[in-house]
Amino acid sequence: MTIVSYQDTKISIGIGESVLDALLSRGVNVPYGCRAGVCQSCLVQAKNGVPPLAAQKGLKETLRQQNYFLSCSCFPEQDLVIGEIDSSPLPAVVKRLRHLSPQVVEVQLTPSTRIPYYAGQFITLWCDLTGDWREGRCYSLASVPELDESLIIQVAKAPGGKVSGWIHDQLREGQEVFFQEPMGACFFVPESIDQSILLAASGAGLSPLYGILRDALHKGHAGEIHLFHRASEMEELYLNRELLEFSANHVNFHYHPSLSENAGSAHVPMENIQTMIAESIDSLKNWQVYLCGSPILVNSLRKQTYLAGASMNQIFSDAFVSKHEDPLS
Amino acid sequence: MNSLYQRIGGDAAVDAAVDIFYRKVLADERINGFFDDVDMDGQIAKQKAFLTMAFGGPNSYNGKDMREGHKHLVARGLNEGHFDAVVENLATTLTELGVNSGDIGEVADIADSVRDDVLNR
Repeated sequence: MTIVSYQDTKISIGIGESVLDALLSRGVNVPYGCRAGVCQSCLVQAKNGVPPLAAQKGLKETLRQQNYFLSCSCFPEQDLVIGEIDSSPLPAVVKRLRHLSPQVVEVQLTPSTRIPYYAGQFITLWCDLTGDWREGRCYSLASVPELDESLIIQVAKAPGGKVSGWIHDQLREGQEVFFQEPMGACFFVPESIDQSILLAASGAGLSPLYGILRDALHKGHAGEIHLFHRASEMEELYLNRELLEFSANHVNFHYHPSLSENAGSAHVPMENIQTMIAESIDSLKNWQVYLCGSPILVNSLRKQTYLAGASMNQIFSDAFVSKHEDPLS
Repeated sequence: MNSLYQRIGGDAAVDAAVDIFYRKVLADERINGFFDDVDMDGQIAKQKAFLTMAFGGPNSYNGKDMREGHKHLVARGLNEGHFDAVVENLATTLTELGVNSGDIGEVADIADSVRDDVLNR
């Protein structure tokens, strides 16, 4: 007999009873669809306890690692706690602030306790504008747990952006801030050490991919890694120097910067990122793909890379949704 | 006696078919407008569920689900021609996978059985 907790309800699951059946029979309203483990409408996450592998069939590797499962197919072998858990904001001190470019500020945070995460996930940073920490924004981590002491985010100043403005203009080294634990399903999960990897980003979408890249290289990834970064102008290729260095030192890493029209540079092409990818790589069959940036670009690239042969479960994306267009893309 | 679903190859066949089928649908100008969705992962899951049903496999979609699920598309002009195009893509997918024509006919019949629900008629 196992116990499944969902919000405030504790339910004992009988033998042969799925989590979904148990919840529904107790009058708990959870979403579901085909009830056959296929449509994924009943996807939930175990915050405590590990779901059986059979309940994770068809899920992306990044979801499996975070203990997501399908409640209709889950016959639990141990107690599980599922659904949202209210987590309190975590404190951190701003260790360092520096400009990577006129538009991008890097913030290094030292949390009061060590936080586990995967390179490529994001945190919600709370902004103290009015003396109370009311507004939060999600920023992707550029740091890698094994390589960096601090949590690192690289924040682009959004035009009229409240929180990015606060980060750029008011945040100080030594200041205490609050954030939510890292989340997200866009992190490095290669199928093999030889797998080819495509990383594509516009603007500040580069930051989590930079973390994923360093994670991959640190883990000794041997397959070809291609990173495409599109920026509005030369200065906003804010990790240009670092990426050129990586490509000099790693024969399997290839850096493809590009600029928006009117950006004028002798060394960097003014090419649409979709075109660049299509021209550089014929087929993406068996590749792993990571996409990050504005929703329009991410959706377009997701479709493009899928049609070029990448499997849907090998395409990981993080679309930066904001009130304003990404100023760097 | 093997069921249609088992003859076609069960769950593994559905996986192989979805990959091919969804790409055909996205590239088909007649219907890709209805699939121009931000949630491609969700779409793939639904395609899997649809194909499982079309292959005579286990699933619990009923007429009401199909009706509700396609209501907003019918409002956007989803018609017979679009439905036929989807079934056509399904048939060519199965041909590519080497499924025999008798079984393809059976799949088409099952798909056809939800025509009225999908078109909200």
